[in-house]
Amino acid sequence: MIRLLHTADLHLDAALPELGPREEERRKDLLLGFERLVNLAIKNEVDLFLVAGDLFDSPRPLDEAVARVAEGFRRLGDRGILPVVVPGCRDGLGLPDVIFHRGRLGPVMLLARSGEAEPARIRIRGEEVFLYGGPWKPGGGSPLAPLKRSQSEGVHIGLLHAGGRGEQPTGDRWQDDGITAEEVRACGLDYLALGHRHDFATLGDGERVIACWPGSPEGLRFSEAGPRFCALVEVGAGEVRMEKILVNGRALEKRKVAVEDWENLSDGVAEVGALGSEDLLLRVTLTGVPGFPIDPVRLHAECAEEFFHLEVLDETDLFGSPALDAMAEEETLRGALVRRARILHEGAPLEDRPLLREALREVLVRLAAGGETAP
Amino acid sequence: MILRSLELGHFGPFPSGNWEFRRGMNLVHGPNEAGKSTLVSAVLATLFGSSDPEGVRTWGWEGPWRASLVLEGEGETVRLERDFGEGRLLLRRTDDLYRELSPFEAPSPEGEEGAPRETIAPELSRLLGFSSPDLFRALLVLGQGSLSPRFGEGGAPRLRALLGGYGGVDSEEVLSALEAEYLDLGAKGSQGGQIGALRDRLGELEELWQGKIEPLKELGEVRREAAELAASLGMDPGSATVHERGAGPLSPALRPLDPTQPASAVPEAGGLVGEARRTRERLLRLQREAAALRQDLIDHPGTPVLFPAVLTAVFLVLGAGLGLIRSDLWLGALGGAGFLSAFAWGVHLFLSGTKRGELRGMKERLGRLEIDREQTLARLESLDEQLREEGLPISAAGLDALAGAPDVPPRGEGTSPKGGGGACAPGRGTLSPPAGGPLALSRLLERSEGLCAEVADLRRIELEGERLRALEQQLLRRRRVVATARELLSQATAEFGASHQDRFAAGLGRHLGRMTSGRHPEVRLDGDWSLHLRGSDRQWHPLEAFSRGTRDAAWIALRLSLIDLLGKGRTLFLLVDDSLASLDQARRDEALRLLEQVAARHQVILFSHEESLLKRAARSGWHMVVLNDQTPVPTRKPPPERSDNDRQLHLL
Repeated sequence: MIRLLHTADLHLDAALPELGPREEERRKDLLLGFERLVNLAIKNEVDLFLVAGDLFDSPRPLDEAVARVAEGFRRLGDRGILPVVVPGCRDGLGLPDVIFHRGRLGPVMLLARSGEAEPARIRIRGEEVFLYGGPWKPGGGSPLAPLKRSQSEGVHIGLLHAGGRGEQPTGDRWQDDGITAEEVRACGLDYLALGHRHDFATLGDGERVIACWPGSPEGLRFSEAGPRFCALVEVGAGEVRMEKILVNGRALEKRKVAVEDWENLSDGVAEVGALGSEDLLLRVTLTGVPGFPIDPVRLHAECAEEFFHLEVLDETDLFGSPALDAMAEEETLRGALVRRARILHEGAPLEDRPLLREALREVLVRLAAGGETAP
Repeated sequence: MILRSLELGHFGPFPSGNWEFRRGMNLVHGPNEAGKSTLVSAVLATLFGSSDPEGVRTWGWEGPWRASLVLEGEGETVRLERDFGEGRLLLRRTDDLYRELSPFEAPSPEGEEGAPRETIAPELSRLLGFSSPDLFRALLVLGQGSLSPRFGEGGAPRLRALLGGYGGVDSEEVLSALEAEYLDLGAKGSQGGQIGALRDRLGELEELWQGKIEPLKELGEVRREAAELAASLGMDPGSATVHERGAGPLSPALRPLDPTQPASAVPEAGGLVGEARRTRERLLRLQREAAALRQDLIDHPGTPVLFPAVLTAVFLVLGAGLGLIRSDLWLGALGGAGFLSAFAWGVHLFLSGTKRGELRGMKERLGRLEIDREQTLARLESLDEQLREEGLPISAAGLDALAGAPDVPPRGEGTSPKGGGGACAPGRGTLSPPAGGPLALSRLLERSEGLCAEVADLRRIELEGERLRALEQQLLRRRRVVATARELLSQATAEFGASHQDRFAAGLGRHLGRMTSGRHPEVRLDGDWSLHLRGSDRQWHPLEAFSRGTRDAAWIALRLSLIDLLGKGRTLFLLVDDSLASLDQARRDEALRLLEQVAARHQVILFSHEESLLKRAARSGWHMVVLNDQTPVPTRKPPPERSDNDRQLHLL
């Protein structure tokens, strides 16, 4: 049996501008995540360290990231572990200065052939192992086409950066056609190491796992909230044993917080602040019908230091709240304001309505100077 | 709505207590620390809740603490109960016949999770005309020390703040702040502000980026040339894929070119590598040729002796046979047979000689090949020794890896469809081999590294660009929100001013005229709501130009006008918490006179510790509540409570 650690979508050196002042620290987190994977591979005495695409988030990562990765690969190499990498959609081979052209990653096997290339052949403890894979571009036929098993005796492992059927991840530079268990089975490989999907998922042949997306080892954005994994796999001819290992350092979480019981912003600060943890990246979505206009910026400012990173989204229904109904009845400026806003809202195109609601909240919050409380 | 009663249970210093109030003037009298201000707070906390419920519990008390009040209006009575411990609120309404109308309870006992929150705001709006606790405090509570707290210069900002509905911030101030933020962000179409500065920087980054395009293109060309050259040199990296697990560190064959090597080492290493490769190839060729020659020698056919021997025998037999038949010819026949046999042997000898010559030639060539091979082998050993001294691999695969590292085809170029196994040395182009050798390849590699260094800061430019573009999106969104907010507030302010200003000024004039005995019945409000009174000279003057007494009257009139406007004509209750204590005797008398006038329209509850007020209260027939039993209370029986009809009479 061949032991391998399978990871993908590390997106090292990613730009994370939404994290503001925490961006640099988070980028270092990603590198620490890579080093944790290297340590895990060494500790588990694997034979292969597979990266199924998007090792980097850019074709030209910064030197620091490259040096840390090269050092990691060197450590693996010194212990006889072979790192095997396929390019992904972020670090693909499209540009002349792509890092994989520059040979600065130390002892790494880059599966960079496309089309009908012969598999790479290696011997591990006297056993022949065949590695299939390479960059795949949409429109060039099935991504599984170059992964047809050869007739040779041995263990046959594929690496591919492509998503599952029906998935259309946003923000990526290619659209995938999707991979199904049936297609993987037809390839005849013993194991297919996949990347591109950022959550853990497997494809099976009966009870046997034949392919896996380990997901990103550190959540990059809030669409990747929750625990993150890599796959520790033992592969023999027609046999796969897999262990899912938790690898993320910091946690990304999303929480919905109902604001109905808040009588003032201090209640909100107490409730959101109580969720705080210095290793937590949290997106709080405020929901429900508020008793007063909530200022998410002030709420964020008062709670942010309890978290590694905090994001506050206001999805409360202030516009249709009884509190606003009461205001609309008043002979006050804010009464006139609410009446005016509701008239404009009624006649505004759907896409402009959120802006109007946000503008109304902005004025009300400023008029109350943050001192308003729910009656 | 007037405040009919207040009942407290373990609220502040009161373990329990129930206080009744009447229409018109009420005096709540008690010494300092008797709890007068606590009663004012209790009214506010019951209506609007408390931000610190624990803070209003009687010290040391562990049981429930609550407060309730009864509001009485035309046709209905409302009882509001608040349990601060459980955070519950109960509102019961009854009509004049004590029939219960729809109750209100929050939180709703049957409310489902996620259902809209039951809020008391609409109920308070119905009862008071507005629901803001801040507005309630500003209009209906006169704090300690002044009749016109926080109105400030001209009163306009405070007035605008009160008219805003919160009583917190002046609406003009909000409008100015929105305008300032809009300009700070950068007005639409302008080049300034944060957005302008950010776009300037993005422009700079774009220029920097453009400056990298040429080196990037050249890099693509250089890499393609290098790939083609490497391919023309026959460097097949296929064997580099073989890796023996457990054999220690990875074979050097798997190590790509290390660009950290000194640049000067590259051409030298490239020359050695090239010669080594050529020598190795020559050796292989010589070996192949020698092997082929040896095979030819082995396969070379000899000249057969059997053929002339058989011919000789045949000729002799034929000659002997002819001699026996024709005895006269036996000598001629024997001579002929001998001649023919000699010819056959002559041919045989000629052919044998020729073959021997060929063999000799082949042996000579084989000898030369052997000498050449030995010389080539010696040269290769010498080169290997030199490569070892350079720390470079000496295997064919190592040389391939060294020479073939940087040759992945750039964008748009196809890769070899039939590679040698896909490995650390990536695929090669399929174009025809160009001229050049290992030295040229080394130069290309060197140039490639130089170009890579030139474009090395592209990633930093990209990262900064991504950060700035994200920020730009945020700022653009923020600018849209601020612009919309500014427009909305501006429109609402104009609309509110147009519909309310004249009406408000007229009402204010009526109140002020009554309070000043007709001296100032006319009030003018400017566009910014600043207050002007017509003086005795018939000219308009700002409020600050008038006497303190007139100003006090104006503030009270303003408050009443606001109550009229915001309370939509409702009768409400004013809580006056020792506001007269710091006034001199004359001003206090004037203030009391004004409050008595207010009490003709609204309920006034005056909280005070002054003994002198007791006499005035008794004399004027105010309703009195005494917080300390030891305080002497005048024995005069208070007059019966004024009814709403009294108000009508007063107005007449």
